[in-house]
Amino acid sequence: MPTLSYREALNQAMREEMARDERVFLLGEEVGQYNGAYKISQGLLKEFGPWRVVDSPIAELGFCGLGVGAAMGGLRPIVEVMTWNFALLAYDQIVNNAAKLRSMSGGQLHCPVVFRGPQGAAHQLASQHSQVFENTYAYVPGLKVCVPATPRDAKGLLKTAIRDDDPVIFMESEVLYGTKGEVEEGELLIPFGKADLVRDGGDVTIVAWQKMRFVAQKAAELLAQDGIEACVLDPRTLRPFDLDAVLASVARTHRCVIVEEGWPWMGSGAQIADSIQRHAFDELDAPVLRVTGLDVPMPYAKPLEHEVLPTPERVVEACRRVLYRSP
Amino acid sequence: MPKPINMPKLSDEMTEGKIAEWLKKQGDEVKAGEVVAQVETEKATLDVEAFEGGVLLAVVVQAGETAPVGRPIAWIGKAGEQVPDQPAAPAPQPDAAKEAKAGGEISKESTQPVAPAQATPPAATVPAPPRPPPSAPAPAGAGRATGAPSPQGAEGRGGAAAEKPAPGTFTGRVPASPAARKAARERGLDLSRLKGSGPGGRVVLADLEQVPRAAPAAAAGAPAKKRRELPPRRALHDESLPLSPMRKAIARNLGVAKPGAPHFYLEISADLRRLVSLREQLEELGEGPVSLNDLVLKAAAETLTRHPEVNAAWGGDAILRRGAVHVGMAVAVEEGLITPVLRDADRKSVLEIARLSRDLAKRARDRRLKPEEYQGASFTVSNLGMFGIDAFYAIINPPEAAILSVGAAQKVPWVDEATGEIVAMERCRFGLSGDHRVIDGAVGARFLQTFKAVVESPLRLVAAP
Repeated sequence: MPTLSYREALNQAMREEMARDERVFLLGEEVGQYNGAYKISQGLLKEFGPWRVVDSPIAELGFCGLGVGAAMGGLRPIVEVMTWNFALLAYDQIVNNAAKLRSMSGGQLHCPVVFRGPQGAAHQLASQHSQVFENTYAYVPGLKVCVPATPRDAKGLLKTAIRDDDPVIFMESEVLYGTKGEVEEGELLIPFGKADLVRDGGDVTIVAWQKMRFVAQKAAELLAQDGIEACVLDPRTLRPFDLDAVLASVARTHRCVIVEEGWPWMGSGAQIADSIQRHAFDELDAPVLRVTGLDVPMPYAKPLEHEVLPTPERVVEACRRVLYRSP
Repeated sequence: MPKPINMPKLSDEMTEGKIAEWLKKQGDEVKAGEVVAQVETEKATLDVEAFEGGVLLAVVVQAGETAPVGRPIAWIGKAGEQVPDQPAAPAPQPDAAKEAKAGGEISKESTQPVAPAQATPPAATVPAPPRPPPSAPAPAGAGRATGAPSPQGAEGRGGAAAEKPAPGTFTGRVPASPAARKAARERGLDLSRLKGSGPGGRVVLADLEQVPRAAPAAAAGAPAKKRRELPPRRALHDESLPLSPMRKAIARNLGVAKPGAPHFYLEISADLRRLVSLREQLEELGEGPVSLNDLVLKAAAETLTRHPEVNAAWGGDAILRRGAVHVGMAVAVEEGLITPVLRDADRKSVLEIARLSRDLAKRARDRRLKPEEYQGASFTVSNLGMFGIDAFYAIINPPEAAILSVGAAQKVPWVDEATGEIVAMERCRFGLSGDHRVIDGAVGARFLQTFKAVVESPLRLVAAP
């Protein structure tokens, strides 16, 4: 199986889907001439021309609205946002239009658009460029939210997203773009709402996605040194969410730790914890704990940034706590 | 602001507790969640944890002294802080009050006085009315609801929300995790009799694992209701069923035994209390399950080494004493029964026999026994206890001299020889069927006498031979 970077996997997904369906086109700042702010659209302008790869002005509300309109009109746009921090400007188009069209038109209209781009902390981008917004979109009925961690999931989920007839929020991460992994060539479609069992174990369930998948994996390795076998689940999409996989694991381990990069208050982990306590109350031997970023705007200073983000050690500590094995 | 560590309420009936021991002394650094003292109640000695980190500023109630539930037994805070000289202990905010506010977030750091506990200790057990919600919402995300004082939220430096039950979260119910409650329900265990190792004395699954599985529900005072399900009614047909090879073998062998071997029958009943207790202790070793039957097999082997005349077979023109103790165990399978053999059972440890018997029984049911695994027994044990059979007499497995039949272990009214009182005693009835051509009644009787002694003093089974 070929090894691809996350960046190449996204590029491959878009190239394959654009070749397969001429209604698919890419729109966003710097996606054409410059080959993408993060080089995700490398070579696409050359291959598909300016009708299919469209450079937009710096105007998120405008070009995201253009994407919504194009989708309503029968095309299947992929709208790249340079980062989800800037896409706040387009929140109105995404939430008030894209997410609502199917319902408010009584099913006569639908909106097959994909909004994609990076989110979360990278390296010292400070408060306005390091935010996690997955829960902000997962909160909205009518939107689907993908948070892939690996190149394979990036490709398989993006192809599924492009073929989906509803608006999909596709969240990537600058620090993942360069990571490599094995990816099947050609047709790879990963269904939404199917968690990936990253690591099996019967002692404690850890739910983590995107970058936190790797933090959780590292934590599981540290725990294994003490004979604690963690089951690490990556939901891969937050909406739809594979609650069944989480509940099945919790039924085995009787405890759960949720790891998320963003802020604690009203974060995605809170919803997952709620679902667990509602559906698996009698299975719980300990409260569900969350390991999150700290409840502060991201500092610019490197050591402080490191302090804010969840670490494997913090995940280990939470796991020990739900196992009642704190040192 | 120093915080009190209050006398926890560890059971429904508890109104006061005696400090058994202080594990921390005045001036010691204490981490949140650390056990600072042990409290004795009528039923158990339990840990008291500090819910706050800091310095143990003062010990109010000394070891050996008693204090009512809810009364401060010590104060914790920053070094040098003044401790209130009079123990105006706020009664703990009962969980019930919190639960009454389902959906409403209430800060767990309740220091609202509810009822002065020391005035009327039992008052602490009465759920206080819920606190009114704070009039002004806490700053968003200030983490109040999770009991974290700093704006970095519950999921701050600690890595995860620290759980802080209000000191002594007592509602008159035993704190227990839902999973522990469910497991206790299923096993008929009384949570209040268990020592909770979790925060605030919470009973967690690990605590239940300390209780041997065989603990009779009666001990917990709440025997699980037995459902008596009968097999379904089925249509009857005249039919002739061909004999399976196994059925043929059973018919042939036992047809030889019953008309051929003149059977005599003896029965003895034994006190099982120590055997049951030994089984529980063996299970606590965590080396895997051990059944009463495993111990019976071992006891039979032990007895045979003391009665070689029973470890024998009918040889037609001779009696064949056997040079090794190979105990067969009758296993009911889909289409009949088969007796896998525990070779040299007298020389195997109980744990080995337990492992082996489980493996043999499983492979017997899967029909994966090799002939050498079910042939050549010198004696057989047949157990129908799992069907609730009081006692029975098995047919000898030819050419063996005898077979031991095991009934159900059950509590029966019995005159306790030590006290002369009638007690409910766990006992079991053992039958011995003997081939009168090989052994006589008295030989069988002596064998059973020894067997009973071994069962009633079962340490012999685990002591080195």
